[in-house]
Amino acid sequence: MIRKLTHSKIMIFLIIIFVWLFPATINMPDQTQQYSVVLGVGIDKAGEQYEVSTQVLTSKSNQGFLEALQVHSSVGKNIMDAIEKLSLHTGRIAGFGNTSVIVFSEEVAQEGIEQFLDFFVRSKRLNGNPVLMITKNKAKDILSDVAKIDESFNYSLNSLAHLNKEFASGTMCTMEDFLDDYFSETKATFVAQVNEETDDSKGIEIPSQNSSTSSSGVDGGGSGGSQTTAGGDNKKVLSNSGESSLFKDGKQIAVASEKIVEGYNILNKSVRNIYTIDNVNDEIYHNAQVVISVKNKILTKKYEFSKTGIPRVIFEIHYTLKVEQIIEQNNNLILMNGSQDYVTPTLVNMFKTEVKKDVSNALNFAKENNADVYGFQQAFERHKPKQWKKYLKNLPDKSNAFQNIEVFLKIQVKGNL
Amino acid sequence: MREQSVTTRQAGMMLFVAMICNKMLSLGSILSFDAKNDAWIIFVLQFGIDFLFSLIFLYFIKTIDKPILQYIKEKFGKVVSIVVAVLVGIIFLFKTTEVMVDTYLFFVHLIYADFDRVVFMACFLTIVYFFGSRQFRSLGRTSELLFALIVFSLAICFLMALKAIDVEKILPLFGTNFYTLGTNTIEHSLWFGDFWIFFFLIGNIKIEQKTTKKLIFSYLISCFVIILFVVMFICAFGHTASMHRVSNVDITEYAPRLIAQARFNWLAYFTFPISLVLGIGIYANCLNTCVKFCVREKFKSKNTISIFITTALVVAICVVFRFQYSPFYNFVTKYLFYYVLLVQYAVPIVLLLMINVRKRKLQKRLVAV
Repeated sequence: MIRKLTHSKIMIFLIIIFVWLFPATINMPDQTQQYSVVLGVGIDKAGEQYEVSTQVLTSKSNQGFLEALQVHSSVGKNIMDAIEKLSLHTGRIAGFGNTSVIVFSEEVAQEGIEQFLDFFVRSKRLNGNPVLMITKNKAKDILSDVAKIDESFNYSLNSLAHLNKEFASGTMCTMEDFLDDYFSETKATFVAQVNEETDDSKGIEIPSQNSSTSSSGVDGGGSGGSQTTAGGDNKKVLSNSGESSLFKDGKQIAVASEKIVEGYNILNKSVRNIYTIDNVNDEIYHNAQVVISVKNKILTKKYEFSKTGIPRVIFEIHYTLKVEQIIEQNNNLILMNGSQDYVTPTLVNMFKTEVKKDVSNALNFAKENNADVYGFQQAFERHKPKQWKKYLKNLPDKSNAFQNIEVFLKIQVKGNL
Repeated sequence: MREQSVTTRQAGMMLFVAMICNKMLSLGSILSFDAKNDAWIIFVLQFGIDFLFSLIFLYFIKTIDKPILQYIKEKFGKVVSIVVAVLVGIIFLFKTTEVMVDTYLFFVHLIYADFDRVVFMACFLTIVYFFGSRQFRSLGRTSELLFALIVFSLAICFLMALKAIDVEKILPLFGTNFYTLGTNTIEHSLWFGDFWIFFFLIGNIKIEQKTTKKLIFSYLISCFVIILFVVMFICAFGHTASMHRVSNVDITEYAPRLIAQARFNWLAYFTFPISLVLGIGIYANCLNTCVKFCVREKFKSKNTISIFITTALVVAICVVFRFQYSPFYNFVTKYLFYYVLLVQYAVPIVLLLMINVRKRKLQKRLVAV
């Protein structure tokens, strides 16, 4: 056996490699002692410097994962500097392989976030395509709030953002979406906002906790802190109401209300949505308030140019609606045949008017800010490149290209029992 | 010699592995910097050119019954054969090193950011040493054995990328000018020229029924898989494709996931390196064939000496470029591509002319006799 081994060159080579590497390998320290698992990153301004916060999962024996969710932060003259300092403070190199959310404060967002995203994609090789969020508060506070909520209620910004894309008044923007828009003709995008509010009807309550916060300290769901729910004036909630930040050229230029976002989503994606139509009056309804839900939406768009060379986008939406709730004045509810369609022509017309109003408001908002969040310019460049180039050539000011695009909307509706 | 030859099936699988190993990591990303959404056209152009040249070697496979270098030596003399071996060997030396450096980046990106270059080189030089010293048949058998796993890893990559695809991102077609596409095609010729695998198969493949057709089929399938992958990569990332260095890792991570979600992409990550290991082995074996041909006359233990020289050459190239991708890539795309173009595409034509002229002369002599 030994003779065979010593006669085989490859075996000798392998034995040498084994003898060399085996002691080195078993002598290596535990990776979690060297690296911290960063789930979320927060970026704030601290004067002229940047404060980087990381929501870290540190696993220890005899503890659950949730107990070890903590937020650390550090200040540096740039983000790399802050991350290096943070690693030095925590004694672990920040590992971004599992980062699923990046939160920016509005102050940072107004200066531009593209440089940070470029850093994360290129330098930190952040593969997982994290979700982006903006906050009016400190990004660090939002990460800490989430860590605290997570203690009592399995909650994460990541799952919140995932659900946002299902709802009409929610937006979800990932790092890739943002960069793709940034490098395209469009250069505009919506990013969801999550804020701390005092009105407890606007979000999920943040439990207060005995923990310290410092510039390079630890905050969040620490294992040792006693946990109580604060009452009275200190009560805060984490709100994800649908407000979204409008970005252009990487910078936040405006904040869109929940209603604007709803209008934007009509031309954008299939989502859960309800409409409340007031004063419906016909043979079935008598000045009733009717709540309808969108059961299905099929959206098609066509990009074309008018005879005068103006770009036009023609949207056609096929809705399937269901009447959810009927609130008749004087409780005058009519009993209907089980197979009868509650979606009456009057209701359809009023629904169409409502949809068109929402779409128009959202479009006006985008045009006022000259921010092509719909990606029309990109779409024309892709579908009609020659005509689009000609159109741009004839424009006195190319920056107004989006504002001159005409939008047409055709709506077809059918009811569902 | 035929006893050591590979079957057509094994040859097809080896070709597939050799083709995917150096194109599915960073090439799509690199090309999309200049060519943008038209990067896939560069692949189509190169594969089209390569296909025409592969027909030359397929013709040789059918007509020549011994290893090509040996055949050249017998018909045209020692000097010509050694010149051909050296010229081809240099290309395969750089191809081997390229896959190694690319594989290193794959592991750094995926598993361990501070992966020691020396440790990596030690491990992968073992592969160069081991597969380089084997017979082609040994590589063929290994490819056959592991082929299913390689296909599985690709299938996982494709399935996971489906969610991220937006077909519109491939538009507008031919938005990049032809000069950019052409220069990129030429500058990146080291990554292509896969038909040279056929060069080493000449005299080393069992001629069966429809061998040529089967090899053409494998070549076309490999091209199709690679082009499909590049198109999917562009459709997933669009404008940011060039920022994603390791295509087949990033493409599976585009769709944002919940932390608690299962990581099916790991299945691909653990199985895809098999193709990289085998690919390095195939290129190293081709390199070693050239080296062995040059040294075998002088030394008795030719196999040992040639494999040590092969390994040393790979180490030398790695050391010269400090095992870093950027200086290596810059050298290849600024200087080496002239050489690659000349050898990769001129040598097959010259060989075809030489062999055919000689054959005609022989035929004329026979007729005269």
